[in-house]
Amino acid sequence: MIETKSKGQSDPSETRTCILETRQLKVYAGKQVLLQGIDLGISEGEVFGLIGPSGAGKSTLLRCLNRLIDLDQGLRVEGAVLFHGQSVRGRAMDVDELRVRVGMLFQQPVVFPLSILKNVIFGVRHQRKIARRDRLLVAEKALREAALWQEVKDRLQTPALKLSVGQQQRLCLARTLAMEPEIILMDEPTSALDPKSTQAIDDLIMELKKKRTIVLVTHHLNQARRLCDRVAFISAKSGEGGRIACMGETETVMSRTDLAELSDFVGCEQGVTCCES
Amino acid sequence: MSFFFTALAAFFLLLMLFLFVWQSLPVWRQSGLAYVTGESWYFRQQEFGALAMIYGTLVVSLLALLLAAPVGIGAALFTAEILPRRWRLPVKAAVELLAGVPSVVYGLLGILFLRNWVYDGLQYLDLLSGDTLLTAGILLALMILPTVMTLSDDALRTVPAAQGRAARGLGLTRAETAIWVSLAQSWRGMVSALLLALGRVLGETIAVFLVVGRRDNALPESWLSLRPLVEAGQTLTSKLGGSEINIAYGDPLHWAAMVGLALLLLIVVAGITWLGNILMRRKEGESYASLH
Amino acid sequence: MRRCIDRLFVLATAACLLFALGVISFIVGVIVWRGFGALSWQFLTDQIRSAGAAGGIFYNIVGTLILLATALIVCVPLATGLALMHGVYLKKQRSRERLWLFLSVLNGVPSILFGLFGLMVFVKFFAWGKSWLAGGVLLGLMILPTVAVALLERIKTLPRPYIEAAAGLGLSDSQRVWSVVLPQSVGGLVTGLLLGLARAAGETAPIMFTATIFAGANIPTGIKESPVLSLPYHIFVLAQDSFDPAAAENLWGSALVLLGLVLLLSLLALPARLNFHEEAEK
Repeated sequence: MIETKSKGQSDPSETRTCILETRQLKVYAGKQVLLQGIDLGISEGEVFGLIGPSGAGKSTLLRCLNRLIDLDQGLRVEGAVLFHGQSVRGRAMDVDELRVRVGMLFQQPVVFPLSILKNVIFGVRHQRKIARRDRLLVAEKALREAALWQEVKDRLQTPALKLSVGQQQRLCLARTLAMEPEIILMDEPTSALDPKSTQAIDDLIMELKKKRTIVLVTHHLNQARRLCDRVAFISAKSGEGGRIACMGETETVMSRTDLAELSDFVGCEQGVTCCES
Repeated sequence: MSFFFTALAAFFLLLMLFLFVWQSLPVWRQSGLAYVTGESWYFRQQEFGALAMIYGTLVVSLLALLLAAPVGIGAALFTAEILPRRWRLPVKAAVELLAGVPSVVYGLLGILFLRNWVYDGLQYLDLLSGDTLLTAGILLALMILPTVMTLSDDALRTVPAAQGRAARGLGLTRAETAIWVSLAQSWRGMVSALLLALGRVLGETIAVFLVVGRRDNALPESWLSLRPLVEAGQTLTSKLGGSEINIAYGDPLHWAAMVGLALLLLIVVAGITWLGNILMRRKEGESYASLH
Repeated sequence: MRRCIDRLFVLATAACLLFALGVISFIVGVIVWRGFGALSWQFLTDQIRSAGAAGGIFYNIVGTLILLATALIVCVPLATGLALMHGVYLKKQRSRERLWLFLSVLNGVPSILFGLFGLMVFVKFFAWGKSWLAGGVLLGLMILPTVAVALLERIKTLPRPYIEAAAGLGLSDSQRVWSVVLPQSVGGLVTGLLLGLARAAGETAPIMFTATIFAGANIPTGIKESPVLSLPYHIFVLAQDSFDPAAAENLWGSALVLLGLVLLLSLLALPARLNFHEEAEK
């Protein structure tokens, strides 16, 4: 009902180049609808937040963007996802190339049972030939960018599994950064971390947004407020798929009071009202 | 009660080992290590050298493994990494079922089909018959193929799905993910699956017996020669499975020489099992499948 | 380039799978195709005549079933004892690992060695001659690891609260076993037995010196000198001779019956096994 209105007011950035957009994106699991008709555009250089209650399909949406959704069997995707105007679901698209340019950071850090160094160059060494002596340089650059260099520079050969969870998550980020992606998709990257590590990741995102585009899924409103330029609030009524309830500048969305689901969500986060009234 | 039954089972294995050692003592006393390295076996002359049979067993087993391993692992890579989920279960079920086809059935098919195919296919080599070490090797390879496949598939699936997803997220292709994530992390399980398969081919009797030709003293001129592959030979098990065992019983030395073959086989197979166990020790829970 | 390699990889592994499935279908296909003609009520109920060229395989089926039944009876207490030892009584990880190694080694012992062992102990030392009992005992020992492991895996997956609740009631180890552990894990025993018997049914090597002959036996009445006929040995002997064509049909028929028996047994165990795989995945 309010959707049209919210869409109308939400796009002052229309003039900036949209590098990733979805058009009427729908996802089904069998007969069940997971996402219904998602339209959004992500501009270059912004941090775009996807917020909403769990189960609304935020992660599913994120996975559509770099087609990681293909790995989940039994899901059907309809509609279009355009990257630089080119459909990512077309035959001409090299999926693996796409995933290099649209990197991903998962909810739980997934490190490979290898040394720290090998983890950092795990992806990039398949992407382009790296001479043995350049490996360190590549790794250092990525680790510095992920603010992990100082902590691990003396023990690059130790198993990555010995790092703390927070460090592992930054290692995963370094691994992605080493590929020089244009966009990084982050799927609740701090939900498994303690407050201190969360702070470290938050600071990193602030730093990274100078150079890269980030799509951040989060259900912490404070995080969204601090980091995101624009947000889309995704909600799902029970039995229906997730949809964009409203979208726009972060503050504009957050301060809206005319949307029951949103104020429920916001109020809940702040501890003012109780969930599921 | 439990303790009693456990002791009974352990006693049985020890008794088997003890009997094999004890009953083969005469031949060790007479020949010592020459029993293992001796090249000729003529029981009427009381001459017992097991080398030709050891050679036959090794050639047949390694050949079988060499043929079955790539195909089995390849197929497992497909079922574990690429095949959609709803297809995987029926395929797995079929393979598991067929891993149990009795060896005598394989032997029968070997006799009626495979040995003729080998004979016709390699005519230009002037084969005397289709009963060769090669035939036995191929037959065994087909026989352990389902086992290799299903165990490799199990090993590959012990790698957490999140690892594969992370690798694909980094832009690795399916092939790269399969090699650098799945294979790299499950090689222990793979090797232990292959060792299990090796143990099985080393000890397989009936299928080999029917197609190996059972020719004594078939040793090559040179160890690198491939010619013996297409000639009849003898393996430890085909010797033990033959009627010579009944002739041997009356003569202590001959009997000892026969039991000695069994002892050799037992030691080798137990050693391989032990090795496989060491590899898998850290993952006790997952070795369930390795016992089938 | 990378894309090419990837395609090649998929094609090559798919080819491997197709080849394996092809072999499997060929084996089953041939046996069913050739054996189906031989099947008849008379084939299943008549005794062997003129060295397999005529008559049926009634006593071969009976003999195999006698061997299987004996193996079952031998195996159940031993396997249960071993599994409980591993799952309940042994408290130290180290001793459990040793027991596990023992089971793996026993599982790896080639079946011909069971035959030779039986020849020494039952046929010669006990002077039973060929006897159904010897064959049954050997087969029972041979499938022991399969059965024990299936049972102990089930015991391992029993929900902790069950066992703790029983311990909380002040039950001793053995009371706990009889009232909680065994009733809850009997399914594992059944699965293991089905798998084990499927394997035992097709084995020739352990019984050919110790329990089974080609012709001239029916229902055994004693232990000494009382061999049985059996399906795998029947096929083994017929396959060896360059038999006359009349026997060929019987041969295929026997192979089909044996294959049917083995597949039936493993088919019954299949749901539990696949379940296990799927659970292990999570």
